[in-house]
Amino acid sequence: MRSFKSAAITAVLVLITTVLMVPTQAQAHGVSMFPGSRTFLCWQDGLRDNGQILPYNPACAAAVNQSGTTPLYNWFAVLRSDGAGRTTGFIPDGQICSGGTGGPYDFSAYNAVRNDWPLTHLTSGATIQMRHSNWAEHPGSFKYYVTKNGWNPNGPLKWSDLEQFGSVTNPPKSGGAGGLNYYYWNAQLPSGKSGRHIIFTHWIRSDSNENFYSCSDVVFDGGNGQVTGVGPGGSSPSPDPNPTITPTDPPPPGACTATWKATDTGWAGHFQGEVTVKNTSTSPINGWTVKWTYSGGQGFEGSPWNGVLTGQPPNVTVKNATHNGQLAPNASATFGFNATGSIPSTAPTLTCSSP
Amino acid sequence: MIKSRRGLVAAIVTLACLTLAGVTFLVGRQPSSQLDEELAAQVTLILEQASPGEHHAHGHSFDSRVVCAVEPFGTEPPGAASLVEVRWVYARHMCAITGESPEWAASVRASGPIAVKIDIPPQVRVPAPGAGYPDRVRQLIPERYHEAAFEEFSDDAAIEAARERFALVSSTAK
Repeated sequence: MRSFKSAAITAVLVLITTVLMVPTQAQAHGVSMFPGSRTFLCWQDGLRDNGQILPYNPACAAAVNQSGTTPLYNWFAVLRSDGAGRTTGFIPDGQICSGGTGGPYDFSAYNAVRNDWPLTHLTSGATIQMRHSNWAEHPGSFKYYVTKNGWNPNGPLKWSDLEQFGSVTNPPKSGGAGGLNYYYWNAQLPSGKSGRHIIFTHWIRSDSNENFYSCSDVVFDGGNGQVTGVGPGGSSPSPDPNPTITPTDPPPPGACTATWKATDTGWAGHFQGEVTVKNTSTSPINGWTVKWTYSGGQGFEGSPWNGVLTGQPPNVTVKNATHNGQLAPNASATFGFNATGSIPSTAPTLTCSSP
Repeated sequence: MIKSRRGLVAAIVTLACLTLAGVTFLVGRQPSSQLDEELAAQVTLILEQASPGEHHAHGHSFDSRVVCAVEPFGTEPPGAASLVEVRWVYARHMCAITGESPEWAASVRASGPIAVKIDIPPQVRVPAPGAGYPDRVRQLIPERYHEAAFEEFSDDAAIEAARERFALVSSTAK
């Protein structure tokens, strides 16, 4: 049934492209969602609550001006039906991020050499969970690359700039096709990386010649997956004049408190959260754990910063990062996160414990 | 006395003319917005019906549908006052596909300015997206509408109506 529905959706896509737009074929779909590819993060950046795409990010805006919004509505379709695992010699240098120009949608505007694409902040040597959209599902493998040390971010991306740091075949998926679900696997990022880089993911179907191409702009700056350059305010979301601050109930002695703050960034379906942990006991604590439960389907967009997510929504658990677990009496630490969904109308009840 | 009477008459005539001009203007405006609504409905129908027909011709059956929002911004001839006069409609459109994702905002779609010939059968022309898109828009849309062609929907009403129909179609399709 699922494959039938996928086929039906694909059929409609083909129809729309053939009848209403260009004589091309869209077949299956997927790009990297974490670290987010240019098309995925630009789609997130520009998508408004009423369904229009009106970009905030200047690089995304330039791409939309150049090519219209329709390719971006099909952010998962950076593909070539004749890819067959080919790299150099098939996709020209400088066109790697769009998979050349032979796909159903022309994404060549997303090859632009700019330093203001949406950016995912990572830590060299860390292990991350890579996520790749399964908008349509297929068996196959993912090969992932990163730009070499010393590559020139101010020049077109070339195949010779890339070094592979892993691959995976038929990884598990978070849910069914046709939505925002994804294949996921753990990958250790190469050590010795710093500054701006591009992570390139090549999805190679094993049941056809169709391939998918994702360029994810990243910076190795000790980050934990936070994304900047999307939504209003980009890297510095505008502060909410009326943040929701709700202290938790007084804790038992010898523990800590956690205070919730949610900021409306003006970007529908997203908010930014901040939790401040305070040692309210009379002795130092070594490590802390904050838990809460979402009731409105909220989720995380990227990983929290200055905290480590160990329990997934709706039952969230965040533990201290290595640098902020030790708190003297009265001292506090704050972790933050980008969230999807609406700000909970009633702030969730936070519990704080140590460690 | 005569002078002032003449003055009075002139004033009355002027006032009457102004009133008439105002009424004419308002009456003139009324059909225009009504025409826009009629054209929007017509083009929406054309866009939404094109797909299933074409699809069935390929021998498939499926429970996905295309739902469109349309906002006209011009016509050929430019001064068309009623539906029968209109040969071409220039409009911005946003078409979404109902499918597995019941969410309007996350649905797959196409959007942008288009030209539709009101004919039997109707013709829909959409500038191909991708590099060079603005030039193709300018080639398709007459110069007098170039500014309007690149603007976003001015009114949420059309999008909101499409969104409601999308939700309805999505829920009944399940």
